[in-house]
Amino acid sequence: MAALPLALRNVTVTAASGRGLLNIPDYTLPAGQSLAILGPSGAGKSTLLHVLSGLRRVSTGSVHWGATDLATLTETRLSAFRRRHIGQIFQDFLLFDEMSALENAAVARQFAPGPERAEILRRAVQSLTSLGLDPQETRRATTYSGGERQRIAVARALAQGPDVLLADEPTASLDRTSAERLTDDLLAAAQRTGLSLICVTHDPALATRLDRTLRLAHGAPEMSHAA
Amino acid sequence: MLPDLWSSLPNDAQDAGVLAMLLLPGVLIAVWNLHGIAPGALTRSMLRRYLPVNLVFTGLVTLSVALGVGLIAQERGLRQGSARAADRFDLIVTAPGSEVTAMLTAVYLQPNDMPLLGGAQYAEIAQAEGVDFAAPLAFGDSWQGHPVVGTTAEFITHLAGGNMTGRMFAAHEEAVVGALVPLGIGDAAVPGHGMADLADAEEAAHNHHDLRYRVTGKLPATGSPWDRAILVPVETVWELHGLANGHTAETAQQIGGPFAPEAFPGTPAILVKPEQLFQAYALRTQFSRGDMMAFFPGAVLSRLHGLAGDVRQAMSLLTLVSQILVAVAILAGLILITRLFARNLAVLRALGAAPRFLLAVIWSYAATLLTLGTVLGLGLGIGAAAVLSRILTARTSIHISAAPGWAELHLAAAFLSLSLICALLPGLLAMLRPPLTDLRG
Repeated sequence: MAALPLALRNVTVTAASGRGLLNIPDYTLPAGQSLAILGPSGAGKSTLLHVLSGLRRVSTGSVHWGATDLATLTETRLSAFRRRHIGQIFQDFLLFDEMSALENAAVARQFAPGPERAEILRRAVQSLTSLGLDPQETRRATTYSGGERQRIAVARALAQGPDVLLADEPTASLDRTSAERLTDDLLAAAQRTGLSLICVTHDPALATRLDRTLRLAHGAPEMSHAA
Repeated sequence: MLPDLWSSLPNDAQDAGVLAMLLLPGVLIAVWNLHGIAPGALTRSMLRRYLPVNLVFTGLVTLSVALGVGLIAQERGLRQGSARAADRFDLIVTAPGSEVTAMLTAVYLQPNDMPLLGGAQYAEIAQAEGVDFAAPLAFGDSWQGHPVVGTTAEFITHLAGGNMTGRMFAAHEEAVVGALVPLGIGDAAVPGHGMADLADAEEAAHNHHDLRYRVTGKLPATGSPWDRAILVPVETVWELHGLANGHTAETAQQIGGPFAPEAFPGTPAILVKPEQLFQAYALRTQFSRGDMMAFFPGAVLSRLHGLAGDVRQAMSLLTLVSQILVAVAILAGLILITRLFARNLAVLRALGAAPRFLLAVIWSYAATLLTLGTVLGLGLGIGAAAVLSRILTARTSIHISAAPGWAELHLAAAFLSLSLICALLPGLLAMLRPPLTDLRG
């Protein structure tokens, strides 16, 4: 695992209707740094996150993670890039309800090449343990509390051994205590593994603890500064 | 070269080869789909999440396959059973009429009103060149629902194939019973008129003859209605019905041929055993004329089977249509279920699963249901055919065995392979769906 720097160059995303969703002339994030993406609803935060993960193709410009330009990758290569380099956390956890915590955390094992599977399982066990969850627990994911479920989602993202962690409103569905615990966990994981952490959030408590802030309005950056 | 090699293989090897070829598309798709990935946990997740729907899908496939398999097994069992029952009947000679009716009467012991052949006709047949024996039949009585059939010792010996327990009847009041008659050697039976199983004791008493047969021998099972018959000297049946017994006053106590033409009261059918097989054809030609007809029961059965084959083809077509309808319904259901699972699939894409992995998850989920349904359907079809065969055997005494055969396996394999190919469609649709749409929920 080697942290990847991010470089956005003249990125625009246009909806099918022709409406501009995102317009970022130039932005860079050094490897291993953390970034909070802020802004009101409809500002383009989630669109940017999807562009960074390659789930959304840019209309113009380029998105570089290290030397890799996502725009040049085929769907299959893009999938492989996500699996190897990008971990994702979603607002609604999006776990597989019928699976146990460990099955969820190690789900990437099912589509990873054979030699990588054991390592994914090892990291899933390690991540669950470090996040205070029992990997041996066999009960379904639905039986866990909201905070626990989001920690399973974090373990799932970390089990892939990513260089970058993308989180979409990771604390939005949690109460204050669980949100603080999750923030601690995310930052500890980022520090321990040296990965870059990018969070879309409305949570000021989370945003103030990250290295940088990118505030969007109408799809474009308002200002960028170090926290 | 290859056709020669194929035709030189034993039948079982050919059938196994056809089975392998029918399964091959499904196997190849499975290998192509699952090579290098392990979607087991996600497939199990889908199976658990949609358990009631999965049970309905599997049940539909099971019923659909069972219908086809059961139909094939039953039809074959019926065809083989009826042919086996007619094995021992080389040539039958009756008065002109319907060969089918005559065969049903003589071979399957179904009561029918038939015109009789007279003594001169019988004598001509019995004395014809190439005839080993000619056995007249006499019907009309029964014991507890078991038909009492009058005939000669030669025919009974031929029917038993040398495996009779006890001995042949040697007196007018002696009888040999079929394997399924609940009488042992030494037991006695009082015959009654007709085939009615009389429940009313008084009525029964009026209908009974003043004669008691004593059982001297028991036939081995032949898988034919004759297993339920009580076989007695034909002379006794004639006498009981107030007719001449086939012999003159000097030979009145004789059992079996030769019969005196002037004392021969008539018979609805004569079972002819030729000395050599080839002579059967000459005899058939010889006795196919204005005052009598001769036929091979096997040939009549073959025509009936041909007719049944047409019915079977029509039913097979209906079964195929029902299987296609079930497959289409399941396919539509799978597409709907895939839509319900779309958000989870989008998560997989977001986590780095290649589009091909989604295809593998959906296909393996569908394949599990289809394979399970097909295997259960195969079992259910064979089981249902076996149960139905037992019921039919009990009712007709024709031994019908619906043992599993290659045809059922071929049908199930063809259905499975075809449905596994069709099951690619929901997976392909899921694969082509943009993940972002579903990720937002």
